[in-house]
Amino acid sequence: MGRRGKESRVSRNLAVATLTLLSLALLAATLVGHPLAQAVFAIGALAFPVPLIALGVARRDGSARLGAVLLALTLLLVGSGVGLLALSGGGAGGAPALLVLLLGLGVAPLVLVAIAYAVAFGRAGIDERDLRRIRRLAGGERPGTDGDAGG
Amino acid sequence: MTASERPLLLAASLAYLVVVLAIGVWAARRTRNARDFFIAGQGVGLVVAALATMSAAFSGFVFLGGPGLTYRMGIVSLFIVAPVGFTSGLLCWVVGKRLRLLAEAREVFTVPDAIACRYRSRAAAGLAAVAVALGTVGYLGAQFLALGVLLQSMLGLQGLAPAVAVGVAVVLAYSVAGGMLAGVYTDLFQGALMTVAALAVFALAVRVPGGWSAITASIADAEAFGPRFLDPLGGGTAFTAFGFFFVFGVGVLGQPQMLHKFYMLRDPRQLRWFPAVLGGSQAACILIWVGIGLAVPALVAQGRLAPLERPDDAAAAFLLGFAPDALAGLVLAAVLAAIMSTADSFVNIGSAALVRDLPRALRRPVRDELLWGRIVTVGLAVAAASLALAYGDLVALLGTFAFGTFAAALAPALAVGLNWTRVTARAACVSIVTGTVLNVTLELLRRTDAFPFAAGVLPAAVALAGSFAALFLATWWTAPPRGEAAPDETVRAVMEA
Repeated sequence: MGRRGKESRVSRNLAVATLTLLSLALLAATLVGHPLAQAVFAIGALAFPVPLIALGVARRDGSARLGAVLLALTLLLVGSGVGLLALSGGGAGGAPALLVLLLGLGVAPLVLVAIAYAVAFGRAGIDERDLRRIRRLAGGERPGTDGDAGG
Repeated sequence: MTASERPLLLAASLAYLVVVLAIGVWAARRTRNARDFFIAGQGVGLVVAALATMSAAFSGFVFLGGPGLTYRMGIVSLFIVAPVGFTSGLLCWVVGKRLRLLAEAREVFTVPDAIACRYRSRAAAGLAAVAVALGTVGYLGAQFLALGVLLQSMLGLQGLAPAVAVGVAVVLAYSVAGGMLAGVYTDLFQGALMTVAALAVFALAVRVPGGWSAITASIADAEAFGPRFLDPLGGGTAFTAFGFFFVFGVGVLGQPQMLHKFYMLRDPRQLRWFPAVLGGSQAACILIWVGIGLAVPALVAQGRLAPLERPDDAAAAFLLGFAPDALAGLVLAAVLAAIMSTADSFVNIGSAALVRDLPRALRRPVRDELLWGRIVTVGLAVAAASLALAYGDLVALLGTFAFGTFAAALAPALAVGLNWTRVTARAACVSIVTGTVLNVTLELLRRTDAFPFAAGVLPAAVALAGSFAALFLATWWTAPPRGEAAPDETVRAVMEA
């Protein structure tokens, strides 16, 4: 296995391990109900999409190329969430909370993700070699959904 | 004054219905086979696919249920729509690319088709089909409930039943006729209409109560709302707020009405700008939720609008009371569009689950899928309309339950399974069953004192987290796929791309 293949496997395993821990933490937090559990739930929910994306792009050098984007997305989502938790209570919400909610969790990630997806499309999206390979493999076997192995 | 006393407003809505029916008739003539019926002949371009995805995703839930939920809960409800910032990218990176590449290699029309290809398991595909059918009845029910509420407000009808019946008849007319081909082009028309209307109504919604400062000040000073309304967690707990965020942010990966659109793309390379078009149009559309959701309580606080007896009336009350006839007509047509575009997508998705996927999983394939698809469509619509009439709560809550059903049942098996070859068919089955059963059971328990979770916890959030946990644990504990049960070379190529 080449260095890139090994890196891809490490990225994927890291993403899977993180997702496993996050899903168990979210589940445990809902059972406890303590204020600390609420904070754990909030951060877990905010962070969950990032390892999912990392899993989706953990091919060859995809997740390494998107490392900065994933880090920025984590900071935006978790930072905005923590900001909202801090703003809640004591009547401090209002316009600042709305701003953080709509800009920090909505608009800023949208700009980041839309641009990053288009720019990194060749590496983390679809590249021509993959497409040619799939079309070549598909040439002899289409159609059918192959759902006949039991299970 | 109801819409029936305002001819311009009614004319706009009727014009909309005529256009939609015309598209249905046009599409019916072009629907020649199951491929046309289910995936629009796989001949759709980027803008059509992205706008159709948006309009299928944004339903009466967003346009009508959203402002209603905000009226009841405050800005905590906006955690439902905040995730649109990343969901378009998440969709494309995690499942969109794989589904479209799979469609390049195999004849896949539905989500259970993709599960059958990935896991080579009839059991997993059959369970997914059952989950899709269950979620479809819930989601269609939410659309019909929204439609009933809207038509009641517009026409001043007594009782929901006649209003729901009118909506069901129109949805059936074009979806039975044209299938997904009609659906995708009506979705395009409806998506464009929704975007334009949302931008227009947002500007009005901010201006009528006197601008942002006046809106927040009026709400904060009102006894009925107060500062809690504007507190990000005021109307619930962190469990509610971030539960919404989790379910609607991550659960998007299991929504068949959105995932189907990836199969329809003419060329997989068109995905490059998909998140920009999808996310941009979604961001524009949620302005209607934010605008009306905040304007209505502000107007009630200012004494310019009577307190609402039914929160779901917020959108109609604002449009009928404060918008000029032409704009109100446009926006009401857009709300109808939002409801019906989602409804017709689900009519076709549900019929595919029952006519294609479940019979194939049971080794009882249906001979004439096109004919039976149209027949089953009628049955699904009737079941959903009955649920809508029996539910008796907010549109958004029924919508959350339905969204949660798809999310918990399908998101883990698709999002993780399409990216990690280690996931077994058995783990996928465990996850689908766990997600479906947990969501339905906890939703029922939520209405009793037996709900075992902390205050504010959403059943759908527990079900989604539980479904992910079940998938991972079952994968670690079951043998890795080998031989015939492992993904074949083509599917592996799709997963490694």
